[in-house]
Amino acid sequence: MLGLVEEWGAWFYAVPFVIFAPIYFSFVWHIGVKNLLKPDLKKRELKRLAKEQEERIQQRRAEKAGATVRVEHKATRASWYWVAQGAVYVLFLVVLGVFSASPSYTYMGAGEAQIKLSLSHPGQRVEPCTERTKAELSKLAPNMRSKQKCSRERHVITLELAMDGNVIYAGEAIPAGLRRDGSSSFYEKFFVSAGKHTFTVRMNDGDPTKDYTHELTQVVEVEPTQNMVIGFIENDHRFYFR
Amino acid sequence: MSILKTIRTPLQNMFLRVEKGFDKAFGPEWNPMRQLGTLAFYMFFVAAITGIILYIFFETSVEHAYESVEQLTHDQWWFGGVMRSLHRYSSDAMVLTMGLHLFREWSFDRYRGVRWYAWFTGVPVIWLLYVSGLSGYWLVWDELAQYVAVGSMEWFDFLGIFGEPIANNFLAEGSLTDRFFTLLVFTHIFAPLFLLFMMWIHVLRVTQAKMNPPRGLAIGSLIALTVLSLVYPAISHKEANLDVIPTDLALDWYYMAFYPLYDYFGAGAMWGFAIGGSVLLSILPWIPRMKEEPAPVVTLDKCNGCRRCYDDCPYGAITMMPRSDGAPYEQEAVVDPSLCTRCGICVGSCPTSSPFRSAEELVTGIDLVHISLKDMRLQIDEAIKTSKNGIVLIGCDHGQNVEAVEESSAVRLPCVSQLPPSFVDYMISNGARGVMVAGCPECGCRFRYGVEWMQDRLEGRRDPYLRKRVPRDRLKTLWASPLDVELLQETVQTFDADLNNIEKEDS
Ligand code: HEM
Ligand code: SF4
Ligand code: SF4
Repeated sequence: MLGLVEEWGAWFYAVPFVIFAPIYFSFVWHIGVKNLLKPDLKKRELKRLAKEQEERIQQRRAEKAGATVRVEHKATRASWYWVAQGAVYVLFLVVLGVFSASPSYTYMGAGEAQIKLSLSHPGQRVEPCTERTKAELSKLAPNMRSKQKCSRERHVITLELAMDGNVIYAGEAIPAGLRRDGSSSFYEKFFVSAGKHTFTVRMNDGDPTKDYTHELTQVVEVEPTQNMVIGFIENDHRFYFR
Repeated sequence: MSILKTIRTPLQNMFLRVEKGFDKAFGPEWNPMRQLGTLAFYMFFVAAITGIILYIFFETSVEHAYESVEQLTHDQWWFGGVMRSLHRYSSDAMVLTMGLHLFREWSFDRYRGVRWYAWFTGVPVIWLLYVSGLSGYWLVWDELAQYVAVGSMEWFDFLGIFGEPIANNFLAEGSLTDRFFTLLVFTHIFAPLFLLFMMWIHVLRVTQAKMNPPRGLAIGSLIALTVLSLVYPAISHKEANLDVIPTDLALDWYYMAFYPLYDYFGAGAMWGFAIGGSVLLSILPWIPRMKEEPAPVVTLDKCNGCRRCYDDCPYGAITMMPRSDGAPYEQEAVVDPSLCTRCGICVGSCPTSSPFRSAEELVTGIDLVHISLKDMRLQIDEAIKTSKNGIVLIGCDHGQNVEAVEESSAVRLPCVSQLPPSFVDYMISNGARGVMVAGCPECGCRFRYGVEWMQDRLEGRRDPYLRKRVPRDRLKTLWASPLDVELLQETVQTFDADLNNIEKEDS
């Protein structure tokens, strides 16, 4: 597909003018230019009258109360105040600009790589499914008459990852859901130095007779800054490295 | 309480010092330190408008988002690029001004008592501002977006509320679908809308809330941001690639300072920090609770329903209700203690607050209980008697150090605006050589409108005004910071000298 410039063609450059220039000029027009170029004499007259009236009211009041017009307290401003204001704005911009993109942060060294161990897999059922007898089946509603009876709870899964013979992760995950009937999920990150490593990942998804039910060992050339994913393909029932 | 004070006072002094300096540069009305809340509001609108413009050019797809932003930044730097930079810098400025605003309100102890509401509703504003800003960074879909998105998703996964980790949407190249990306774009549209709603809730209880900065400040800061956008435009990192981990990142520290901490301490600690911090912040107005004086009382015998107190109360604590005592007036004033800050401004506005009466009759339509009109007159009588140079200073509890002037006596009120103008008349007719009202700088009033109303009353623009018969050269005002002790002393001395001259001429 094409990018904005190619897709929009000349429009890409025209849009700011076509859409925003009218908005901009109508704004400028309404805030003042209108009065300069096309003065509304009637309105001006009305305004003048209103102003005179306001002045008369003020005057009457002043006679009664000694009222004064609000003085802008310019005296408190220093004579160099425009310069000082500019300096404050510059300071503001420096603070704003500097921390908006610096100092830079090193998340990971350039010679390192990251391994993400991420998998979701349903453990084996805690109780194996059993065949229902005829008598049991007939008691059930017709639409519920499935041959097997299965408890829903699943086993906790244990997972281990070793690199070059050292175990770098070992943990277990509880199945999701209140009845513990969902998948168990793992999500772990490790930094490793780039280069050739031997990884072994193994899992036991609920067979107490075995140490591990699934296992994969592989020698991988890990490139600097690579994000290597170790996961599990549910359809093939095997681990993968990527 | 004293611990709180020891932390608070230095911070307060720092603010006061900066404010004093800025007064010289901006004048008190444009002083940005007193406009932090309004500036944050203004920055929101700058970000909203520039955001709508950016959205016209933005392509909502994983594949093209980055490219569309790049082209805007480089091929159309003179418009789209400037809009992008303005969008970023105004959002950063929101964090900056909001942070200062929070510290300022806290250090001046303007968050307890009835102000709990603004403080309490300010906390969700912080969350929403962060969600708004961070979700914006995702849309660029560069390495920074990748880093922030993955970090945020992992952080949420810690809660374990999503069956499968949502961080898996960012597992490897190809994991991120356009559908999920669209969700991110929606987050960035709806979070700011909620933010605006919450900001509105935040100022809901403030009457005549100032939400727009003064024009000079609005224009100045917009020009400043535009200059920054041209000189130092916002740019992207390299395009995101989920198979590659970014190493060096130019973080926007206003929004992303928490991410390195997250990398270091982990999700649990950061949740503890976020939730613990929010809860602590939310309950701050009650630890300890503000010792609250009783709310002002309305004496119906005196109240004629003139609505002046209703017009002047800066916190909307007074409502005008139908008359309940059968008196031939339409309305009467009713105070809502849960909104009232005990500033006394209503006492100063009431036409029946006259000192020219005998002590028993000294009752006004609306009066503070802990410093009643009677107490006020007693203190003033005492001050007239004890003042060495015959000048009486009227100060306020949180403002200028009026006791520092040894030759004169001082009376402190919650706000100078509690003093009804007729009291100035009273003081001068009862032997005070001069009266000096020493309040806070314009726009620096702890109770928002005290200074403005007092100036207007003394200068005859607002009822009740100072009577004409009062000789104006015996009245002086000084609106200055508590740090301006020397200025205060000098002003009293010149005032004294001026009074001497007048008296010489008279005799
Ligand atoms: C984007 C964020 C925010 C904006 C735009 C904002 C804006 C404002 C505005 C316009 C006012 C009224 C000022 C006036 O008219 O006197 C105000 C008052 C206040 N704000 Fe905020 N605010 C923000 C965040 C916060 C936060 C995070 C806190 C603290 C947790 C906070 C605490 C307060 C308090 C305590 C007041 C009350 C002042 C009083 O009642 O006298 N604000 N804010
Ligand atoms: S004391 Fe202040 S806040 Fe309370 S009712 Fe009077 S003017 Fe309003
Ligand atoms: S200012 Fe005084 S007289 Fe007027 S409504 Fe308020 S309490 Fe009543």
